[in-house]
Amino acid sequence: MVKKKYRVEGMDCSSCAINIEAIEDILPGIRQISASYQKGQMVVEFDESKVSEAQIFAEIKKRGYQVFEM
Amino acid sequence: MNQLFVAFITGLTTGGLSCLAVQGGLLASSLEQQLEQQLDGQIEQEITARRARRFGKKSAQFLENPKLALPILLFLAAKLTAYTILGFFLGALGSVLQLNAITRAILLIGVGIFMLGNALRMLNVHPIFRYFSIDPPKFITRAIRRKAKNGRSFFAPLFLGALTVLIPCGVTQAMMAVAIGTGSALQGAMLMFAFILGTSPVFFGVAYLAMKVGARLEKWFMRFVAAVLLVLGLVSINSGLTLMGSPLSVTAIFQSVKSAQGELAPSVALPQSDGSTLYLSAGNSGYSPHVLHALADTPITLNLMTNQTFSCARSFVIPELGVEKLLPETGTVAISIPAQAAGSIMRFSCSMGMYTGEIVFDQ
Repeated sequence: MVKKKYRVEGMDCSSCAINIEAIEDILPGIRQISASYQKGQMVVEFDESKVSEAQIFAEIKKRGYQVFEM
Repeated sequence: MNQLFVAFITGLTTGGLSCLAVQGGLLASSLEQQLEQQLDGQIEQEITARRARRFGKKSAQFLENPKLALPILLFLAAKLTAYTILGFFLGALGSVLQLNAITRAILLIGVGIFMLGNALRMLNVHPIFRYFSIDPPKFITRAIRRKAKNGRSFFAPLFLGALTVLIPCGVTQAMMAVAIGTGSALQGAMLMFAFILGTSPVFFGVAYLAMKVGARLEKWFMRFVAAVLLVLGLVSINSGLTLMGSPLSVTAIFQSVKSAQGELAPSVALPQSDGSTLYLSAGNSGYSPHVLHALADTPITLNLMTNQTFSCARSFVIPELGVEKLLPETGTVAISIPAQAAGSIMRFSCSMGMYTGEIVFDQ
């Protein structure tokens, strides 16, 4: 299990953060996502053997946001 | 009554869109599956009916499927009930707190700053304004989301509609502050009812259309909301400043220009004021005369006269003296003002800071 912090661009309000956090219910292997609209960041706790960073990024991009490593 | 109408219009113009920005995602996620299923069913029905027509059979009835709208309506009905109850408690809280003019002024200025901050946040002026967005705790959003995901019955929209009370949008939060300001449980409930009722048509319409128009139009909606919020925020700050008796408010500046141009006709025949006994008409359009002249270093009696006055001018405030009087619809109320130094100016206004005037103390 790893815990990584990312920069997210394109969040317009706090419901965007909720929208991003909903990914934890979709992708297996993600323990928790904590997204902050105020900071424009998210912290993802995930199991690298079950889900890759690329899969998480793709899911976020699908929802209209851009994600960058910090 | 007037305040309820303003609350309704605020809801109708800005509240619906602003709420949708915060709560729309929740509504969409809870209803999407349900609506999609129904929509698919409707399309199938339509195809069957077309085939039937082609083969000369009696066409099936498939016009509008009311079930498509029902979940949204249930969501909104639950939301309306929840916020009305919230308004009741906020009003009751306000009655316990006994807000005076200065507290109300601070509340109004606070609400104004909050609105301005939110408008600037929506316009993406600077990331710092993002801190004006008050988020519910993570465990609440998580619990709501889980419920939205699992909910398939009509219980889900009802439950989620009621839960929106935990994630109010910026405009709603401002209206909640106004509900506290009413100082009455019943008025607070009525105010929130009127406001949420106002938000409902837009919420319904946009939620219904959003699935088709997508995010492109949403950007324009948000800009419109931000512009209106900007104006409402400035009005709120201005009302707060007026209520504090500040000469810096736009109302005070505007009124002084206006009074130089012409005077508002009094709503009642006023007796002639002398230096120590003053007469002021509180009419439906404000106070007249706008400027009263009084003798300095002499105790003054200010007689407030009303005649079929129903506007907020009835709620008379002199911030400097802490005077707050609710005038009768028709009648005269006398207020004693202690002696004031020569050259001093005492401002008065209605309790919402909309109508103003001043007493000038001369030698």
